[in-house]
Amino acid sequence: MISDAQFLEQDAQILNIFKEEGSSLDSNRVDSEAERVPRDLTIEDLRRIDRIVQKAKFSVVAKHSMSFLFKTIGVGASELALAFIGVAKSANLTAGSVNAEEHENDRVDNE
Amino acid sequence: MDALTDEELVARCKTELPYNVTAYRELLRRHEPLVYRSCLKMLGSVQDAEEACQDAFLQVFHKLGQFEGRSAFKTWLYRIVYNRCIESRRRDARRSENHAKLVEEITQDDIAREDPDMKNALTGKVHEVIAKMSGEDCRLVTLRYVSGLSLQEIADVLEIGLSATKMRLYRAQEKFKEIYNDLDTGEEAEEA
Repeated sequence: MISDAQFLEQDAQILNIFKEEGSSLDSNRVDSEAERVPRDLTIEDLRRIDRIVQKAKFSVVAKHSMSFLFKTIGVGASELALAFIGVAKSANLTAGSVNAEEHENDRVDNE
Repeated sequence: MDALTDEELVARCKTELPYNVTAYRELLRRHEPLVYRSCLKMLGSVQDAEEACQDAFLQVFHKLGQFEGRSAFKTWLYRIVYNRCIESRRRDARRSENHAKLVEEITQDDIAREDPDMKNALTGKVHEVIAKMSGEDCRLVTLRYVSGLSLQEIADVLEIGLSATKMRLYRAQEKFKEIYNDLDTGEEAEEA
């Protein structure tokens, strides 16, 4: 089991190594109220941030466009299906009335 | 915007996104640079780090509505980043195995287009040590010393207990020291 003292000692040693090399941000800066103040941003930081914002905006547009496209395709497909059903029904009805007419003619002929 | 806390910014994002990105941009200004540097340490490549960082913040953009605020925003963000980095390493197992090699493969162009801070982040001794560490140890050390997360925050990110986190981090620290001292010894031997 590691004691808190052991852990903290090692933690401080490594933190120092990072700080010496400038690879760590000052941990005080993270934990304190200073977190609210943005760090000094480099041009490269700002460029990356801009790229992310642009991508995020684009992803929303793309998402909406896709859903609009699928909705349109969906509506189109269902209307086409309805049209087919309508055509099929009317064809059936026409065929039925022709059959009935023929049947009636046959009956009259037989008589 | 500067005066708002992360939680207040998140609340604004929830009502304003996707139409107004002002609060989101402020969150990015506060966290992106450090997240990027953390990804850089965890993945060892400018390209991978930029991609992982971008993906993580896009996830934030789309999933912020689902964030219930049970943990701090920072913890939630780093959980996304941490998982994204694991995924990235898994996606390319070869890179994972040859992390140290990969660091050497980073072109000068990559480094040149970064600021001086970045040069240091990719070429320093600390980076060399981290590159030689295993994936899990590397991520733990990065979260603690690069991202500056507290032990509790790391435990929240990893979704494990505090004592288990302490144990894992302690082992990672040991590993770090071991490699660091080995490098020191190597350098001294070379000089002699």
